[in-house]
Amino acid sequence: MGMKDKEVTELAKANSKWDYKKVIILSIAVAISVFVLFSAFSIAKGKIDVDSVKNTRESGNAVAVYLENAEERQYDQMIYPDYVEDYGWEYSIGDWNQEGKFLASCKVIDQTVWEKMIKPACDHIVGNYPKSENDIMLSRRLLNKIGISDPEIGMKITVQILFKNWSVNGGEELTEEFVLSGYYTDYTDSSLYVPTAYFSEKYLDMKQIPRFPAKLDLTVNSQFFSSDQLEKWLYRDIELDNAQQQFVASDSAGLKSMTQFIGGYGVAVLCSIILLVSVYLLIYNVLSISLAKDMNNFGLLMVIGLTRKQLKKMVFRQNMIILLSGILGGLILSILAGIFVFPRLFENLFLKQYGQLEAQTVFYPHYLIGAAVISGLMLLSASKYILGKLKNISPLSAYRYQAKEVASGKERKSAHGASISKMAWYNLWSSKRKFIITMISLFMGCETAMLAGFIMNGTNLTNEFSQSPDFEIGTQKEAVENYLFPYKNANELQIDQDSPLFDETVVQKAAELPEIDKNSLNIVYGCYAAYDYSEDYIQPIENMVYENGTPNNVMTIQVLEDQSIDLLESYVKKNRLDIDFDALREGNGILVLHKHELSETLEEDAAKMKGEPAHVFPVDSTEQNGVEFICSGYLDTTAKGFPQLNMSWEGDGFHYFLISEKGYKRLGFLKQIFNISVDAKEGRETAAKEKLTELVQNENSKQENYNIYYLSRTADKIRETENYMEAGKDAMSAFSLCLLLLGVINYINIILTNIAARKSEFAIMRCIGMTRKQLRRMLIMEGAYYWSILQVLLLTIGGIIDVGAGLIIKNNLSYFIFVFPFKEWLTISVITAILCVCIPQIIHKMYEK
Amino acid sequence: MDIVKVISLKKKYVNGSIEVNAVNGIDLNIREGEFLAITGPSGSGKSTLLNIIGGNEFPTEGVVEIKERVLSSMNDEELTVFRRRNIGFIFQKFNLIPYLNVYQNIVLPLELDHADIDSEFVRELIDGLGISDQIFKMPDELSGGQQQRAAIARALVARPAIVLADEPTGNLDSENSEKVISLLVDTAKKYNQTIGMVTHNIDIAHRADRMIRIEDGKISDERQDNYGNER
Repeated sequence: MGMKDKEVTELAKANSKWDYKKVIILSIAVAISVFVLFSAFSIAKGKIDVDSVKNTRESGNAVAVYLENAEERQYDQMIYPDYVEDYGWEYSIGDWNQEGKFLASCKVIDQTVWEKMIKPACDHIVGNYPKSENDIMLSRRLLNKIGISDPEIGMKITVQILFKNWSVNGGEELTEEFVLSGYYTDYTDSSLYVPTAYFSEKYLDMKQIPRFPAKLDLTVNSQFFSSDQLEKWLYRDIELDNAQQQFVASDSAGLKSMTQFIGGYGVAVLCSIILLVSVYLLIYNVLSISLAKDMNNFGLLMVIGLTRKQLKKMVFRQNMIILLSGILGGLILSILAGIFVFPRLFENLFLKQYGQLEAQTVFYPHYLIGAAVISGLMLLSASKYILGKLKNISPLSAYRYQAKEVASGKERKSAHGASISKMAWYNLWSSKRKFIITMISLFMGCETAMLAGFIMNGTNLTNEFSQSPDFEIGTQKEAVENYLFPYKNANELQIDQDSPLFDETVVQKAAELPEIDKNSLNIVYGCYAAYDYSEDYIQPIENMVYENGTPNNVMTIQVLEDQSIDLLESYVKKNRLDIDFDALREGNGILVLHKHELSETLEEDAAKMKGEPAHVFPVDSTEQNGVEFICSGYLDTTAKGFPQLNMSWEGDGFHYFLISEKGYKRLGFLKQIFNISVDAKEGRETAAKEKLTELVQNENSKQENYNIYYLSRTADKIRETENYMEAGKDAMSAFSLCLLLLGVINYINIILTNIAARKSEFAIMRCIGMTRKQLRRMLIMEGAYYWSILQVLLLTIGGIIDVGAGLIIKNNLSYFIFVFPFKEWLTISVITAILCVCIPQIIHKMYEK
Repeated sequence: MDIVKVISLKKKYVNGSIEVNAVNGIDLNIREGEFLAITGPSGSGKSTLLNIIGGNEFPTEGVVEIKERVLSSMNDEELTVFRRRNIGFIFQKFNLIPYLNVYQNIVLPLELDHADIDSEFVRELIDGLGISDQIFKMPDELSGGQQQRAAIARALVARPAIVLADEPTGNLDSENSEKVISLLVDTAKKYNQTIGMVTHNIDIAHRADRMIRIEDGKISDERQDNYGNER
């Protein structure tokens, strides 16, 4: 009569009670696995979520892709691609001008764009998006600009609109009164900020302005898509009508934050794999250490009469007992951490400048479930290994099973005695499998913690700025516009175009300041010029859509020094782009730059422009003979991996070109300094800032209506990001600790069981005459060997892994720097030294008692 | 000269409410060069007696002297050092250190003592015990008999005052048992080694010079000369 199911369960319970130590250790292992998996992924997700919101607020919207110049036909097609989550249209009515100066963009967006794309980037929203004809919605920043510091819903706002559509008011500015229907706080980066006033769809209807052509805004249903991928798919799936229709995608806020946090999805996947393998090793080690005992026990049960099927059932039920208790323990720890610890980690991440993070809890129940399931699967899979050993073995052999500790068949040709340190080494190496597994566990835990530190140091946003000079003085956009387009503002006093905009004396004055390191002076210069609209080489630029600013034929030509040309050339070679550097270097070529403003069709056209004649004319006249160049090619400065060049970009609406020094000499146009940069002498930064501020203010005071110069200080940017990075470091440190914890616990577990198994060996040693001191020394030596090998692994294989990861990250983050994680390595070294040396002794003392 | 003196030895174990007198008043002297066999039924206290003489256990009452040194007067460190210089152990399960080769196992007591290794003497031991071809092998490559011979060599290498053997043939077949015992007897004669051996095998016990029988923790019988063998 076979054993019934209920009796197998009772047997499982009794077996668990008898082997309670193993059950406890395994339950703890499962609990730790659940906790570590949950914590590591939660911290990463929490950081990425917080950063995603920050990135969204910084960019001012959550738009993944937009299509310029879309018709209703394209709008209707957007329903088909399954990767498009939401889509809507955005119509630019025109500009809101005040006293002849641009104040804000006037736009109408549909409800989807407001709810899904703009609203997530704002907070403290009061009121509604405009519904009635004369409703208007503004940001607090814009309200402040027009002198309203205390807005109220329903208050009247007078707006002067210059419509894009000339059929409205015959192209003249129209002044109308609107009612404030809503206002909000936005956090857009000041360098990207274009104030926007929102109007209702009914207003469009009232003015009989058709919705299309409009800009289509899209979100996608995955954080995993890159911008290149999205553009490619959309060009493939959506039929476009003309070359002006361009898809422009950006990396998702999630992808950006993933890149900033851990360097990208590739590295994240690598860390996840290492984490999962570490978790598996922990559980596997516990099971394999008790293998002999389990085999003996199972063998005995089979000898008595338990069938293999019943044995499997018993093991399964025993595992369930372990799993439930382990998962419960892991759950409790995880919930406590998720509710009390993690939110504190993240509250500092969200600085005031990005508003409040509403109801942020870092508790993801699905991660907890996932962690429990994965730990359970690992336990079951590792258990299968033991049952697998029973497959081809007789019950009696299983009962008599003894784990082979020492590799047999290998002589040691040594006719010398073994000192304590040699004995320690022989002991470690005698069970190669166990030794290697222990080392792998310890190494993986430590290396992932070091890798996390390496990534954290390298992706530190302050790196972006630390490579920059301390101060930069340049010309403001408004000043450049007034200089180049004197017809725009007839009321303004005009700057003499025969003199450069940036006065050379300012350069001298700045460089001669005693606080400034003269040798650090760098001047970015070139000239302003104009192109002929009709020339072939410029047609891609001519046909692109202007989001902001108005079309013009002004060229900002920067002179690139040889070093920068070399840098550019290696980027071009690496990406297999077709650019004529020979012509550029010889002074015959001119490079056309753009900021991803060309549609796919225009990109194709641009690629054909290499070698086309390119005439450069003085800025005020294309009727004179231009200086002949050839087009060296087109480059998109926003492309991944584009080198950090010392460039000056005068904002949207300016066409940017690069030539060599030789090319500039051929031109012979008036030299224009675009910006200068200097470093302060050591310890004199504050004084340098004061002097430079004074200098810039004095120079600006010479111009009545606007400032020519700006002064920017890298330290200010660093300070802004430093606070954020400090909080980010906490998150990263917590993440690293989780990873280190696994490796350490694995090590402790192996040592604990190792020493327990060596009780008789130690007793024999004592019998033969090993004193306690000698035994302690042997254990210390064993620990020292583990530690030393770990250091070698961390510095060699670990170093290779770090550099490899760094190279991958550098592709995505140009400012990534390779910094050996010295602090992390030191911390890990100290912790592991204490562990390796002290833990065996502590455990041995426990057993001795 | 008496190498070992055991005076009024008692050893009591307490297991809950149960008290067991493993050794219940034993007086015993072992002369230099003597081969003493200790026999008795299972649980009679023979191994306990051996362990107390070897300094691995502490008596409840009584005194053990080896070479006129009272074991209980030494602290743990002193006792361990004394043990490795003056007492050699042979176990039933051989108990060679698994990660040392045969040679390293044999000279281990000398290594622990930082003593000079008398290579000639070690070579003599190894050859005498017939394990010269095995000195580089690891213990799990050896047969039971070979392992026990290596263990004998280890026990003798420090020229101890006494070698204590606890059922040295317990894990061997009859052929190997005979070989091992013969080697032990011959080696003891050669080096005038004092040996105390626990065994439940009467035939083996008769190979010794003197045999005592322990029953219920006391010496119940004693025979001076060995059966059929002369020293």
